[in-house]
Amino acid sequence: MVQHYIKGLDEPNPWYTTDSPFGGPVAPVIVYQQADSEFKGWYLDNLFGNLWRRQEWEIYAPTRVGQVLRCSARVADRYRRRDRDVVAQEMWVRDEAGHLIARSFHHQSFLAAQTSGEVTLRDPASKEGARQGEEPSGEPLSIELRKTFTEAMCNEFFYRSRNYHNDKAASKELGFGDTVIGGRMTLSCVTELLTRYFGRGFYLGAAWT
Amino acid sequence: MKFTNVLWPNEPFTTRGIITGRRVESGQTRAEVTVFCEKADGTKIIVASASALEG
Repeated sequence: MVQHYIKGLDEPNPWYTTDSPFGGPVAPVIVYQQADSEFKGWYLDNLFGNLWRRQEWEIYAPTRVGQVLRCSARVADRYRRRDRDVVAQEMWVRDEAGHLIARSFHHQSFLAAQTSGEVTLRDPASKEGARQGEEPSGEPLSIELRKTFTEAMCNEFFYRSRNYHNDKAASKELGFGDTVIGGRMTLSCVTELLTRYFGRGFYLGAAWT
Repeated sequence: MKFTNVLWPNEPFTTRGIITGRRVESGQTRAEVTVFCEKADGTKIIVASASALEG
């Protein structure tokens, strides 16, 4: 898992393979993030045009490479947003002793009526807060990440299966004109930036919404 | 963390952050950060509010 993550994102952080401030290699902070999709039955039937909408995470402890974790989840909410139905799943990640490692909410949106054709995405310029000019004041972080995800990187990151994140035909079946870069990959850029900036503090009590 | 726009393969993007505040928590400093992933034309694909312990 860690090797696919490193290659898929092109993020060779030595903490993941050699040593870290926790003694020995530590996994990327939410390396277990795909566990939420392994629970069956919470997706709605119409997968056409489904997209990630929102995530929230709380991190309480690092995960060691090779450590066994246990995940549990529930459907926490279901609501309507414009032309989409949204399902929110809450997930808990625990170590073998039952200590909480992380907690998350994942909001997945499903088109309420459209089941074929081409998905119409809203114009980015029309979205609230989606363009520059609405940024908070403050001190810019001293680092930033610049990436371009290729199909090869998507194949590496989503090595478990072929889906609309690494297969154009699968993407077209869901109404998209090209493969859609997976939210897990862009989310990981956020956590990589914050891991680099905060260091160990990011593993010991971080949260993002 | 809101996923505000779709990213396609081979589109360059940047992930950056702005520290919006700091507070003391049990003797340590917790920083509040707003993080953006954005395309070259400024279109944001992720907007997130995060916090973590510094130092």
